[in-house]
Amino acid sequence: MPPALLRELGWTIIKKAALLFAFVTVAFLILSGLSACAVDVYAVGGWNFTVDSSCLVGGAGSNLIDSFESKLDATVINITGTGGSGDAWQVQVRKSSVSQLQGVVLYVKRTGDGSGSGTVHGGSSYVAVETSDTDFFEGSGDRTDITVQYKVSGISIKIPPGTYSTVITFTVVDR
Amino acid sequence: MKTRKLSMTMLTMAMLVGLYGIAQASNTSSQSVSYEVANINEIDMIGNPNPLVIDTALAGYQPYADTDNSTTYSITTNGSTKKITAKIDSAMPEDLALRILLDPPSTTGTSAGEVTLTITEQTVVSGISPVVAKNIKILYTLAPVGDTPPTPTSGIKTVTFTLTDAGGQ
Repeated sequence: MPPALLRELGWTIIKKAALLFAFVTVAFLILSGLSACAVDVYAVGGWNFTVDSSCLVGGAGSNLIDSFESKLDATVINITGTGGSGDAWQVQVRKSSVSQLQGVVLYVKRTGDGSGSGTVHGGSSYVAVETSDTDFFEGSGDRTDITVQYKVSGISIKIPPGTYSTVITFTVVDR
Repeated sequence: MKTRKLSMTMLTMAMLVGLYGIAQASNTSSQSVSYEVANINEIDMIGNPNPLVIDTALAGYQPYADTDNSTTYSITTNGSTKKITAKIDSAMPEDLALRILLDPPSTTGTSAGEVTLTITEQTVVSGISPVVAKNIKILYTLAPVGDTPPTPTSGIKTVTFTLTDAGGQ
C-alpha cells in the first residue's frame, strides 16, 4: 500500500476515534448529569420531645409509657423531578449511628399519600429504622406532601437524663 | 467497517453506562429526631399510719412502744445517686420519740435503719439508682424516752419525705 494512502487511512481512523471519543464523553456526561438530578426527595420537619415524670404510666412506682409518637405529619416529603407519572421510585430510610441506646427503637410510618400525578404505596405500617437503608415506601411520578409519623419505643427509666438525637436520612432511588 | 463496528460498540457502552446511571439515581434528604430525658424523681407514700398509742406497760418498766407498718411507699427515679430524707413538721415532746424505718427498694438503696424523726431532714434510704418499685414497707414507732413514763398527750405530725440527690440535704 502506498505510504500516502496509509497516512490518509491513519488520519481517517484518528479523526473517527476522536469524534467517537467526544461523542461518548458528551453522551456520558449528559446521561450522568440527567441521572444525578433525575429524582429529588425533600424532607421538611422533624421531631423532638421530652420524657419527664408526666410520661409515667401511673406516677411513682410505675414505668414510662411503652412508646412515644409524633404527630401524623412530623415530616413532609416531596418527590420531584421524575420523568412523569410512570417513572417509578422507592424511598429508603436510615438513621445515624450516633447516640444509639440499648433497647430504644425508632420507627417511621407514612400517614398520607400526598398529591401529584403519580402514585404512592407501602410504608403505612411502622418500619423500624436501622443504620443501613431500609425500604420505606414506593411510588411513581411527582408526589408532594407525603406525611410521615415517627415512633420511639424502649425508653426506660434506666436511660440517664440527657439529650439524645439521631439523623434520619430519606433516600429516593429511581427505579 | 471495523471503525463503524467499534463506534457502535462504544456508543452502546456509553448508552449503557448512562442508563445504568439513571437506574441507580438517588437523592437524599435528612431530618433530625431528638428527645430529652428529664430528671424523673417521683415518690409517693401510700396511706397514713394508724394512730400510735402508748397505753400498755409492765409494772416496773417503761411503757411499751407502739408500732405501725400499714403504710408503704412507691418510687420511680432515673437518677443514679439518690436518697430519701424524712422530717416532721414540729418537734416531738421530749419524753416521746417518733421513729421511722424505710425498707429500700429490693434492687437498690440502703436503709439507714430506724431513724428518730426531727424537724431536720434526715436520710432514711441512700444509694438509690434508677428504679421503679412499689409497696415498699414503712415502719413507724412511737416510744417513750428517758427513765420515766411520758406525760399523757396527743398530737398529729406530718412527715415529709423527699427524694433528692445524695449530695444534697
